[in-house]
Amino acid sequence: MSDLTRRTVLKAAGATLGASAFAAAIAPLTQWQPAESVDEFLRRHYKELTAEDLAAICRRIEADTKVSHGIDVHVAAPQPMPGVQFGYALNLSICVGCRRCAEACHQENNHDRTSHNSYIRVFELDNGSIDLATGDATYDHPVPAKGKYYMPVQCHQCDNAPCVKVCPVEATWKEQDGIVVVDYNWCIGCRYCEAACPYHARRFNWKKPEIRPEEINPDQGYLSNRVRPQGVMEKCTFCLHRTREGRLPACLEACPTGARVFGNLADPNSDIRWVLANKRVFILKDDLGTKPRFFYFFDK
Amino acid sequence: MAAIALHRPGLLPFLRQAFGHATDGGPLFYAWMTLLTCIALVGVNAWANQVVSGMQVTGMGDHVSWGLYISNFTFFVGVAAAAVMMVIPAYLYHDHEMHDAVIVGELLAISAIIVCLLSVTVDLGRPDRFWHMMPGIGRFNWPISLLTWDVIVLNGYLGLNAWICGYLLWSRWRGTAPSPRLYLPFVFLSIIWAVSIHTVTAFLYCGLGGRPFWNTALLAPRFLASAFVAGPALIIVVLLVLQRLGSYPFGDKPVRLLLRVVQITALINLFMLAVECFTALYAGSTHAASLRYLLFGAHGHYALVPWMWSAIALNVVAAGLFLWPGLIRRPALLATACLMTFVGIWIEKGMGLVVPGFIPSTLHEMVEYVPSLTEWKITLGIVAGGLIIYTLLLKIALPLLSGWTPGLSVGVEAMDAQHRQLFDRLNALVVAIRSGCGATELDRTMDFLDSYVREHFADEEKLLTDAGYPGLEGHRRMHAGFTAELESVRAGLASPQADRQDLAERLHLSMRDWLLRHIQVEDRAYGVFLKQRLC
Amino acid sequence: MRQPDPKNRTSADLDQFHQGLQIAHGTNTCLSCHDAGNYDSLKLADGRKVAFEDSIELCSQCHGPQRRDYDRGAHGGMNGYWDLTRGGRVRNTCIDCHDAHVPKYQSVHPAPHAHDRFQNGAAHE
Repeated sequence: MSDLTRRTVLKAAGATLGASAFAAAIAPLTQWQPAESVDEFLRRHYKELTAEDLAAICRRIEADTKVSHGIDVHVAAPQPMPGVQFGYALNLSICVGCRRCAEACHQENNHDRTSHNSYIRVFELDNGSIDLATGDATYDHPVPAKGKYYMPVQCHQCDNAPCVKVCPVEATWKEQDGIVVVDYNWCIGCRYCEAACPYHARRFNWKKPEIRPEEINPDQGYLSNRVRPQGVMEKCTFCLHRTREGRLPACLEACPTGARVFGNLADPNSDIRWVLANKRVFILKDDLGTKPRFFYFFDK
Repeated sequence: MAAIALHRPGLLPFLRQAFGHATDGGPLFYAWMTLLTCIALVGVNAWANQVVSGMQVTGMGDHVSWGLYISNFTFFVGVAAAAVMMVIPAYLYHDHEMHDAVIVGELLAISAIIVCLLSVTVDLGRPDRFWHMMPGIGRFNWPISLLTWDVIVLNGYLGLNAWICGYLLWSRWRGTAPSPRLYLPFVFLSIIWAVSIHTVTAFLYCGLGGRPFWNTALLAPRFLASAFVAGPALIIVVLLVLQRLGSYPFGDKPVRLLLRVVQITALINLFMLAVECFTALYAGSTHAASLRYLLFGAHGHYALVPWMWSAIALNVVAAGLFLWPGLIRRPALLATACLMTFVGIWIEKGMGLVVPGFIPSTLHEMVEYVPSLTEWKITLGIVAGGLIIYTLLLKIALPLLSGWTPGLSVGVEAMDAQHRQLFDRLNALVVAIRSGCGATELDRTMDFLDSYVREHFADEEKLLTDAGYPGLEGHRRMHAGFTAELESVRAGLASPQADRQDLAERLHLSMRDWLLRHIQVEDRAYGVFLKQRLC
Repeated sequence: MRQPDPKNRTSADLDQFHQGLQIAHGTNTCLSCHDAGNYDSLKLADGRKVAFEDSIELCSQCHGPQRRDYDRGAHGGMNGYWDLTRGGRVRNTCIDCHDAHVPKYQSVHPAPHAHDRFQNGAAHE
């Protein structure tokens, strides 16, 4: 009996020690603030929000940003425009590889400053080859360099988007106007979409994005360039906060050579339709059947 | 007159006893559990820090966006799937000796699935949003996303194995015969299900057109082949360890059978790897870029080359050892070969399959991956957690399978105590024979059992005589039969020509089963008689 | 005032003004584009005068494909709206980017690239 009691006491002591060690091990979680509020934690999927919900949420993000960063921002949730199907084409004959587009994206979309993230990667390729294996996206010398040409790559907004298919929680989907978006408040951060995307178009927030308040672009979209939370995916949205108001995307405006052509594929008189009908157009990784909305073309 | 029945113990005492079994043990057990707990807690702490600081503490990036966690997940899905290698012979071919050993495999499946689920969870950037995946309250992208299929098959497999093991152990504890209707259909389902978990996991990868390294129809067969090497190899090691610890009187048969399995699967696995290499490398297309990087390095990057060649070397050497007929007689070498192939396949499935899928990236950039310290801590913590669960499950299950349980109570305390002793001494003899101990030791153990059997039978028969039990004569004949059987085993042990393993098997299977059934039926019958007399 | 001398083909031929001016524009000479009668004006090949702000008409004489692309929004930077029912565009013209005398697009230093985790041996954090 005394042995039994001793055993019980030892077990109890062991259990207590184990439990307190566990509590100590898990203690860092007390510093964790995954959500600003319970309300945010319980927020429904974007598609389940009414227009009023969405408006209220946008106002709340504005108020929260005022508190957290001390600046006034405007967050909107522009909806797809009826009869508009966005498309983008890029002229490889005149792109000089200046990376102004990537830089504009960096600023427009409130990217993390420390990583200098951008949704656009510009590859420097050897003339005479379209093999990306010979490419370099980290070149740092005057451009255009002799014997090179340049290929910016960003989200292709595929009609048969692998990233959308693989998402286990429908946190990413294709909107009516063809733009593939991410609900930053629904994504669980499994990064399956990042593995699925053939164009390296998706980025993960490996940490909370760092950006100085005065550098924040105050013109924000709920599904696009608002400052993202830690641990979720993000991607190019063709600047939907601009383009759904009829404006050109930031990368196009930054392009000094006019290599970028953006517009409505559903409008037969649009510039993009003219390019597709008259230029030597090709689709990157056409064989994968992803049916992109992003096209490359050559002048000659 | 109301039917008088002996008391059948309920769920609560079952759980209480399970808890007791799980937490009682010798110094070795406590040392093992303390070690595992410490490793697991280091993992928990690393994970807590990762959740707070974000995935920046890992070695992953936008180029290699899955690393050690998903590698480990993929590997352990295979380990879990391999439990069927024990289930198939046990249930499909009614192989009696596999019946008990199969529980070792199924409990491994349960533990491995938990390792898988934890590995995926720690890979999530937002574990707090886990509920987004739950059907009903979240949005479950089924059937389009293969990941949702994986969630279903993994949890389903966990449920199936938990049910089968739980029900069989519960029945054994209650002393009732398990109803085939309540577990056989699930056993057959679990066999198909085991194949599905690894097929679906392969489909996670091979369904991605943008990753040519994974986009091959051979991936699912390769996954299964490697699973059926690593899983049985691990179970062999577990059985050898259990044998060595004397925790359970397993015979050689399960080990022999599993060895036969890995002899074949290790070769099939290597063959498939060779096929994959030939197809990609001979054509020389850019689609082979990842494989070339993996095997030979590319553009000045070689991080995975030592891993992959180590894996190939380990698997080739182990496959060779498996084919050597003398291996079965050398447990230490057998365990080494199994561990070699286990590690080899762990590398092949993880650093050799998940990671190179990202190198070069889809835009052909070369960014390498090295797991960070945090990833190692968390991964080892999860594995330690799985081992804790597995150890506890085995601690609960093995005594239940081999020993006396309260469900066998005949309602007479003295007889219950003697029955318990009978099981223990019978098991001790089986262990003694199988561990190949000397004649003196064997004799002592035999005497120990033999004298106790006679003593117990005499006591029991006296009890029944005093009570005027009508079935006494038949009962006595049964006892005589058992004693005679024991005599023949003793004679066999004395003879130098006798096959000792065969004798052990007789004791372990037919005689222990006789004892079990005898107590369940005949002894409990007198128990009811005695109870009636008291009323 | 001196009369323009059509025999002067490059800046090297000049003895006053514009000496040292780089010209690298095919076989064009000064008076291919500048109006000999009125330096404040440009002229087309058929002699019609073109104001400086309409220089694109002059360029288009030779660079037809570029002009065609320009008209379809496929050449030359711009700002504003893709949806012209909602707003207009500000277009660059040829000489915003091309020096008329040395029209080859000048090389520039690119904007910084992203510092991707672990790319090019970036330190493991």
